[in-house]
Amino acid sequence: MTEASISSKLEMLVHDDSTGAQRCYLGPREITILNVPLGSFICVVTPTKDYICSLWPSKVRNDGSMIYSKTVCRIKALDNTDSKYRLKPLHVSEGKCIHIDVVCNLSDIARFRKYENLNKKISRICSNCLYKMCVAENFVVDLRHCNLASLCGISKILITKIPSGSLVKVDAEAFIISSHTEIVVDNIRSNEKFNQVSKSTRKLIGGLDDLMQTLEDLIKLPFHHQKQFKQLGTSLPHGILLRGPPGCGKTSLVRHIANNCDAYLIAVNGPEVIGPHPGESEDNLRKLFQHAILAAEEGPCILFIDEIDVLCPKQAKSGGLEESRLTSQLLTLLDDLPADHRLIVIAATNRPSALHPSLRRPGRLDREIMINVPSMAQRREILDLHTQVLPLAEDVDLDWLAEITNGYVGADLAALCHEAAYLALGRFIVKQSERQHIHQEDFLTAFRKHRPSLQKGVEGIVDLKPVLWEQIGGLEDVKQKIKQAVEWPLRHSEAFARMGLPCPRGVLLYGPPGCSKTTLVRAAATACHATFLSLSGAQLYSPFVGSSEKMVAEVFQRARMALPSIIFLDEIDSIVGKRSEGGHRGVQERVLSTLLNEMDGVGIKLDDKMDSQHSRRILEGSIQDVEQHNSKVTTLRRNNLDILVVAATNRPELLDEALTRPGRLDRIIYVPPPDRQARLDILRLFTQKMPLEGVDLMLLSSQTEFYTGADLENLCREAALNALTRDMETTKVTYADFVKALYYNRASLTPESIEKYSRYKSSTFDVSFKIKERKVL
Amino acid sequence: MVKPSAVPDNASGPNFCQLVMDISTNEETKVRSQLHKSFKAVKNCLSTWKEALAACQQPLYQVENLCEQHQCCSDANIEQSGIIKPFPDIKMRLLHKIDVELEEQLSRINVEMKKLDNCCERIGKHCHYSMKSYQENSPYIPLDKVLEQTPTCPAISDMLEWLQQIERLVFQQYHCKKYLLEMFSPKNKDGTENLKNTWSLGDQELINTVEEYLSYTSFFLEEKIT
Repeated sequence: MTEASISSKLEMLVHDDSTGAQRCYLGPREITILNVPLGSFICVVTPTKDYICSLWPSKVRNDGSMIYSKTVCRIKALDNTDSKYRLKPLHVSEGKCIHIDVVCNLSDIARFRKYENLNKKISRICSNCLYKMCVAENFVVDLRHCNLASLCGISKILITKIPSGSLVKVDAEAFIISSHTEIVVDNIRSNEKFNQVSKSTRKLIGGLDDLMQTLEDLIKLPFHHQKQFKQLGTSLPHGILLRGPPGCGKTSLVRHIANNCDAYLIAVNGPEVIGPHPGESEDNLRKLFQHAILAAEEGPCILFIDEIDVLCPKQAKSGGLEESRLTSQLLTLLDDLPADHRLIVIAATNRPSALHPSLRRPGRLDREIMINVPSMAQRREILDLHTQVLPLAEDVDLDWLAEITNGYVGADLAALCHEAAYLALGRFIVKQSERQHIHQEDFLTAFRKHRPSLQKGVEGIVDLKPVLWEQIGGLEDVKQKIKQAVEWPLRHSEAFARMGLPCPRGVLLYGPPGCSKTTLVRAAATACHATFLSLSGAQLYSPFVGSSEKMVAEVFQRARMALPSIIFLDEIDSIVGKRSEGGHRGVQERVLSTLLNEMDGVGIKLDDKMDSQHSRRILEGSIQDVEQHNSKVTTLRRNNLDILVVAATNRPELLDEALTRPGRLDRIIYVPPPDRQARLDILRLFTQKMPLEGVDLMLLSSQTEFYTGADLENLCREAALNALTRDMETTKVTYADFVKALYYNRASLTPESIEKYSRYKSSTFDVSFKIKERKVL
Repeated sequence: MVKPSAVPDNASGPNFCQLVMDISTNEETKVRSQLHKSFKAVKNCLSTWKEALAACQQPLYQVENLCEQHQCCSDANIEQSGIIKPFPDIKMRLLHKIDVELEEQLSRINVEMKKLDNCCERIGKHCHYSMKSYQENSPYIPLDKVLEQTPTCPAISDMLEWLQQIERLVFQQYHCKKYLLEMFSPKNKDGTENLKNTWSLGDQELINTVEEYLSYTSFFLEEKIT
């Protein structure tokens, strides 16, 4: 029998012994197979870890079982491909010298530092703790059950190096520590950091490479080049503020960086610090900083405070005594950090405007880094990363998926992938198929189910019923214009950038009611996968002063977060009227002024700005190098992705002139009532599924002058109902039914009303003509 | 000494043990005789160990008391009180006296520690000899002989394991005590507290374990192996 045959018959049992003896107990059959004397050391190879144990017969002498101690283990397996348990006899020799790292609690490290002859003392203690143990390179000795070690505060010993030539036998794989073995303590490490390093799995982050580099430099440079910093006389940065919407990877970024920089990470959530008793929160905060400073003595340390806005809210808004005490405590602690510290404080928030301003001054949280909602390329990277482990079918188009998931943050994309995998799993279970792949269809279903977290809890988000351009009959000219104004800047932004065209800020659709203005906007939104927010008068007005304006601002902020986006203001005349000259200031005027400011104001609130990382402004007169010049095109492309305000009204004359000037609603498109051809198209569309008999749609279209699209839809419905009234069993709609319907359904437009719109059109023609001229592609 | 429950009450006397000591090979006898010697040594060491520990109790109590005195004396703010003005160096003298007394008590403990160290060394040596004897002879002794056990005589494998366990425990216990004494200083409150609280921690466990193993081997020890 061979070694492999042992493993196939072994029933593994873990031995977590209280004595800490390094033993493994096997049945007589296995001992015979191994053919080594009792008490010799063997290596127990498991899929994830290796253990060194001495061999002893099991107490009940039963074959096929094994109990082993986990005292001496190595995390990396010798052979990763091997998924089975194996036993391997070891060639053992006595060691002359070993190098070790001692792992102990943070508080004990401080105690050790007080010792005279520190290394000598510790190496003697370690020598006693390891006495007669068998170890090899990179193995960790767990000393939880060793009385002497726990008395001294040592919890683990890591064997870092065995110098060549220190073994008595050359071919030895492991060695026994005797009283003559010289022990060299290389490092004293804290338990906390050791556990963090051994636990951390290198989880990758997608789409944040340049940001990661910036942050890494900020953290690594002061840690690794302290001397140079001193020579230059510059002070080390104290803190960094990360801001960005929730779910975009602030926390994972910090974890990743801590891992990369080999720094000890103390992560704490803002609310965790707050205690119920007076003074407790401040105490917790002080303890946290003390712990961090202690840990920083050992090596680089990052103190990460998530949701810091909870700890330090703006004083004016909260007014609570406790918050202000907590804020001042945090400020004091940040100011009191020792000058040559190796501690960096990173705070994260998604509401930077709610943060106490004094926290953001240099010397406290010096740097501010914005993490944005991922762009399309970033989404592609994130999707790549999440789908790495998934078995994708060939039809999955990640590029397309990245395109349609506008407004999705990293967490949303992860959830999307999981949902798709989950759906695929359900299918496998039903079909019992062997080849398991995730198809595009699964992603699509998941996409329909999943709502991006940015859109949760926001006013104005609507569940859009998708409409295709083909579903709108007639109006070819208007469709083309809308495509130009809405679709082109979003879909062909490169072409706009190439031609140096600014993207239009707003589009106003006006025309008689029922002429499919709303449907046109819906079709535009469907075609370009932009975030679609809709605001109506009823949503906006509230009995509280100021809340309407706040809502407008909020909707614009959300739209800015999830660029590119379309804000649709239906019946804009009811939302904002004309500014009266009488001096009476109503809510409509205030909303109007907010809207004007948001669309084309001096600027947006700095804290709400989302693109600080991406758009690097080029100042006048500044020297541009080639690289910058090249990046200009891409920057332009990004800037083009903006908010597009689309408004619809049937009373354009009621609108304020400031709203319709270029730079705001600069594209003014008249959606006319359908002409004869358009009516024919519309009728064809609505009667597509009707069983017609002897109905001349051409004739009908000529008879329905001044009928709008909605009127025509109603007409067709009435005709069908007439047919059913005539006979419930009928299978056809006749011309007579239509004539009857025509009699009851009169046209909603009159020549006068159309005349009114044409008058308005001629008055605004000059403006829109100029703009149109510029936008020829 | 407590007899192991596995042994029947009537299973005593030379005849029964004769049966057990039916040693098949010369090699096995060698190993068993070494184990016999080793467990005899362990038995002797245990009594020495117990005596030494008992002898430590008195000086330890003294040390604890003296430490308290030392701390009280050094904490006392006697310079300011008027009564002691004629004796300006009384605090220094008092502390010196306490220190001398402490030294004396500690040296008494150290004498006992030396005994513990000897025990430790002796058990270590015997463990080494027994393992060596087994490893040298192991090619000639079949495994079933090594694992063979009778109600009165434990298996060679078990005895070897027990010896190693005893050695480990004794070594740890001795070094714990040594560490506590090293860390001890009358000025250091933590060291004193540690000495008081941790000194006898694990002593009883060690004695119980060793006595348990000795009781398993009691019949084996009564035997004469030739």
